[in-house]
Amino acid sequence: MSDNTIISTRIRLARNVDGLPFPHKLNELGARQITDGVERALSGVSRFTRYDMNGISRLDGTILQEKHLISPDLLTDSRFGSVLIGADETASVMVNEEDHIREQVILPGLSLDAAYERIQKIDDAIASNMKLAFSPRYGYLTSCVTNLGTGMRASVMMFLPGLTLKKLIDACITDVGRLNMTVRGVYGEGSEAEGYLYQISNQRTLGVTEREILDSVGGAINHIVDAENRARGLLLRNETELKDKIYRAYGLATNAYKLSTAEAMYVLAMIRLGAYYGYINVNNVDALTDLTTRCRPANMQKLSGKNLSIEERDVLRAKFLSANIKSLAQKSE
Amino acid sequence: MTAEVNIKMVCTKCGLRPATTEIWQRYNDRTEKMFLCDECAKDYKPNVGFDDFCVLDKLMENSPISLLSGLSSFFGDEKETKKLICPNCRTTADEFLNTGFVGCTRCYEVFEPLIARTVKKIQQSDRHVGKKPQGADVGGSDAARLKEELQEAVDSRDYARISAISDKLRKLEGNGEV
Ligand SMILES: [Zn+2]
Ligand SMILES: [Zn+2]
Repeated sequence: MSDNTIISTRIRLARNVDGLPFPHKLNELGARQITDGVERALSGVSRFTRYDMNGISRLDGTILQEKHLISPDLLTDSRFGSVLIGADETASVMVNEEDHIREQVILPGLSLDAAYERIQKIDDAIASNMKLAFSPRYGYLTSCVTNLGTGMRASVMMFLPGLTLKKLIDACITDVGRLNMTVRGVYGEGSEAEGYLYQISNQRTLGVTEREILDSVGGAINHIVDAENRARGLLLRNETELKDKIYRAYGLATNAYKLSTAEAMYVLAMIRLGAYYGYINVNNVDALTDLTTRCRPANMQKLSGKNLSIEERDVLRAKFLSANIKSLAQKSE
Repeated sequence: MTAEVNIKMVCTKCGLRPATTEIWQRYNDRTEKMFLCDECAKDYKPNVGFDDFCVLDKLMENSPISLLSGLSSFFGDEKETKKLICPNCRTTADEFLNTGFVGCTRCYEVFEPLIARTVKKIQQSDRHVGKKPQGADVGGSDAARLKEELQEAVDSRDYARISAISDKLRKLEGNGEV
């Protein structure tokens, strides 16, 4: 279960196969060898479905990206990229992206330990099937030196409207930067147009143990949650203004004739914030998160089943969002 | 790259106007691409961060961390080091310095002195302490690792550590492991 501020937890491990050049120097034969090897290794863990980037449409690829199952790089820049996705879409393994293997687990809410436990199973299965590039000094060898050592990124997606609206986010970013954390907008810069969503992750991967990474990310998250709660308290100083903003957003979500992606991100964010203050009753906060993904352009396109202009897509989005929000969230009075 | 025909690109910053410019930036474990409209592209300030390798290269030129003495005499001066090419994948030292990417595991040996400095700079450490893959050749005996640690202790003039490590080494060698 996610709470109001913490949306999801993601852990990624970067791995490479010993004896083969890294993906940007790799030929097709080597690439296929790795993909097949990973597929074989994962068949012993659970059911994974394989998608080769050469074999799926750009639209289907973008949908996977909007669901955070693959990176934009795998979609646009990898020559022989593939992804293997677990049945419940919490685990995925990208092959031949920046590194030969990028394992990933995403779980709702703050679930650092659970996510790490799950990714260990995948990692061990892969390591027992393929010889991984490893040096005693630098740990897991990666194509870019920023990922050496553990090859691990633990990141938490957070909803931070309080800090953003109160213009405290930059100070907060500097603060956690001192703890060796990076803060990034999920879809770019974390602005209003992106629903106040941020990704917090560890910078260092070498010279720290996996346990230390998990603990330091967890610590930073607690710090940010405290700061966000204080900022949300500050927003109440002008409650009329705040309430009005949230109700207007609810009005837009349920009545607009067309909505851009940015507007959809904004109204969904305001409804989530409204749920926090009790202005809006939301049956299921996770469903709001899910709507954030389903309102992205490629997901909309898929929903319509045909090619749409930006305008047609915006009309469809308004219709789609209105129907969903009406059943999911009600104004409380 | 031009926007896909069937998924029209909207500016990733304002989400309003069509995107016309593509901007790349390195962030942690990925290269991020932003698609900006003319308006937002004008206001764009590159975010100088941990992973900005253009900056990194400049930092390294003034780096106080000098090459390990043994290696630097082996490679001659720094200019020589920069001429290195990996025989396995043809990656050049320049390529590595400009991008932070190496081409294969062999590159880690070929560019060792350059990599050691870069890694220390951005990771604040150059020693793995985390998980090891099952059945991996974790390379080097205990003695080899102790000798490396000894060298570090000598470099930092940590006399207490020097004598502690020497003791351990003597014991190991007494057991005939080396
Ligand atoms: Zn713009
Ligand atoms: Zn190489």
